[in-house]
Amino acid sequence: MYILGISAFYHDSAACLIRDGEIVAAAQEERFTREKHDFSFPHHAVTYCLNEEGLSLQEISSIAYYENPHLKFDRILQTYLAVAPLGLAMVARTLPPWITKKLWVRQIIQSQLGYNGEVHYCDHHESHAASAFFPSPFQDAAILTVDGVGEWDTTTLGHAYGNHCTILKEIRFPHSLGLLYSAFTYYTGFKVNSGEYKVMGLAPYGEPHFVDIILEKLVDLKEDGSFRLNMDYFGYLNGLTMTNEKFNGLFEGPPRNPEGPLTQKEMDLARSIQEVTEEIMMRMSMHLHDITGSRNLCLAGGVALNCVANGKIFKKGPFKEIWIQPAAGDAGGAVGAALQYWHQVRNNPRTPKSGDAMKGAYLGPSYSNDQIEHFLKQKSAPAQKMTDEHLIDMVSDLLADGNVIGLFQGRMEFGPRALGNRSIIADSRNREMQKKLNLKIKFRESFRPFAPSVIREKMSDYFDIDYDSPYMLLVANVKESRRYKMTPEQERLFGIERLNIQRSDIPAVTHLDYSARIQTVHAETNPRYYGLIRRFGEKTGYPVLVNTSFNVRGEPIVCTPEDAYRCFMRTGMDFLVLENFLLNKNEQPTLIGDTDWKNEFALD
Amino acid sequence: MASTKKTDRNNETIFLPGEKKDIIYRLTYLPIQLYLQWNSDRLSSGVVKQKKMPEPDEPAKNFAIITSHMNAICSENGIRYYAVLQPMNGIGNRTLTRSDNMLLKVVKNQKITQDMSRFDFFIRYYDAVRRIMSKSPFFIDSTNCFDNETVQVFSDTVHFSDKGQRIIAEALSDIILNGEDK
Repeated sequence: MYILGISAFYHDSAACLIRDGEIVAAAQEERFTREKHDFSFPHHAVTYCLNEEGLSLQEISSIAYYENPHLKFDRILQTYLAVAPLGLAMVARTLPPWITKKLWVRQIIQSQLGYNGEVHYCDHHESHAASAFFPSPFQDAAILTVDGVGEWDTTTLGHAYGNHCTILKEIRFPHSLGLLYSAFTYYTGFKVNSGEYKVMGLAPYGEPHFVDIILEKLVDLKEDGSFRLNMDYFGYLNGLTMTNEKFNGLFEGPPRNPEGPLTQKEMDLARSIQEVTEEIMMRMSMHLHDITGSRNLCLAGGVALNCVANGKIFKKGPFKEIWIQPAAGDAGGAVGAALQYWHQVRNNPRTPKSGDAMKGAYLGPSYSNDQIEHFLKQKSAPAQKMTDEHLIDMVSDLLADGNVIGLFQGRMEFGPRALGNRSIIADSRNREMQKKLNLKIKFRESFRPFAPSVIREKMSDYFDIDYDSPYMLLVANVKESRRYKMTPEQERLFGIERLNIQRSDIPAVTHLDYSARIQTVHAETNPRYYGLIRRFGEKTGYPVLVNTSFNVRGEPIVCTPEDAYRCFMRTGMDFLVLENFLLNKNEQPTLIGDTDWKNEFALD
Repeated sequence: MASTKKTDRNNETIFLPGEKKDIIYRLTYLPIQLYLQWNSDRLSSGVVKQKKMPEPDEPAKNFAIITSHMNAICSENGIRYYAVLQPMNGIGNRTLTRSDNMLLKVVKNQKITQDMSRFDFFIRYYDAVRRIMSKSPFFIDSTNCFDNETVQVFSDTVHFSDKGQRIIAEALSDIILNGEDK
């Protein structure tokens, strides 16, 4: 039996196909439309999922949608009525798309796809909870879902066993940790629903000077991690912005202009809200452990992408095991809704898989060597075809020589992280690499850190953690013995001035505070990437690569060979791997008429 | 955490029990529906830009579309839905009081086109709604519910006096409590 899961109409629309409870395909719409966080109906993603299994819609038994639009609309209406007559501008902007489109999800799905079967609504946080637990390796687990808001819930604490998840406790809108974090994202000049990870990356440059103010004025935090926001300071109930004048007064100034200079204040704010977030997450985890007694924790929801908080929960929290849904945001709701329908509504049994059931998140489209050869001929792009063995040998040499390589192979990743199949990779030992990647290849802010890919069995040689982190969702510190102590002169530097200090013997992936967002690479899920890193390690002694997503700032991660080639040609990458083909930038013809491409993607 | 602030150390909690939520459309839809209708009338007719009123059939059709949407949502959630056309001063068979006539003067004198007053428009609009909605199973025409009242039931053209509110409330509560169909 096939079930199609769909998430849409808020951000990161996606589709997922499961066959008798096994996830067989999943993709975000943005990868096909090339519009970052695309929230439109995921036509392309649905088509891809069906094609992957060679299905027609008539062979789908049921479609599961990741939230209940009626309940969500009810929350929006009640919110408006609670603050009326304020918020009229918000209503005027929010309601028309609801009336014309968002309320009619069942009808839209049926009409857009020409589908006459059943459409099942799964509540938003139930989708998140299902996406966190059902693919996890656990038979029993506590579940924590935290995001901005779904229908009413913003946080849920649950417990799951076998094929059933139960929500035990919840916090409801407008009290939301996700929206609190987004408020600071907005105030520090970044884009809401996209710039949150920049705030997280900026935090180590700052000091936690504002923690007390946040806890005194903005958040009423209880011992069990439950909290209430002081809505006097936030604009999202009755306005079009996350924060308001009173918030500005509290932090002595208006929000930073996007693309304006980053000052120490933004860094201190980032550090402060990050610490508050970690404290809330930690308290909730402790409480969740108390009420469930489980040794395992599953996480999902947008806030579960805060890998720094995740790392601390794992290291200092009460749970022995932790698993985080790689598509923890709304895209993953498509997976959760489909699995919830299969296991919980249809009551099908579940057998946890060793590792997990996400297949390394490699659930998207792939392209054969024949398809790539055809594409390269069309482009008249010179390339060298090699065997796997030869390619790995050649690429590891190129990396060791300081080259930056676009790596396009296998099935595209599902979720926000590139995990070796749509990645830009480089040598982690190179102290100039962070700057080069940020400014000449990704065209993004210089402070932003890069993540390491390390083969699983060598993880603890480099980092103070020895635990699977296949989805780059745990942050841990570089091992003490590998760190470089700062000189007294360097100690006196502040914030961004510390950017260029070499922090360890793998400087390209060591953040300012010695932390790293680690991806462990496993031979079982990605043997090719694993083989490449291992070979690089054999040659250099360091089985650790820099891994960043294959895109430029504001662009969705590449999906097709054409996307990859275009991105390769537009940026400072030196070589491109398209499956078994290796392309040298110096040998490529110039892209004609592609001078204005930086305006193609809105900055995130 | 670097904070020196002491958060609550007692057992107080803000967590709520996890539970399925009910949809409270019956409380929230009416004012929103009216807003939407008003807004869609304005937008669809181009009143805002063109400074002229639409043909009465147009907003009446919007009324039909919006109410059918509301009915569909409510049906999906097991809620009985009624679209009630409220009484309006000057519409129906009631003998107007002196106060009613005074209250109506304003809209009768307000010209929205060369040949039509705002009051004329309302009469045509009500006719159109009744015509278009006549076969709708959830439509209730309450425009005649003041027909036998001789006391003052309006406070202006469309708003009710206390007495008028009571009459309407009793009529609606009978319908809701008895689960009456149209």
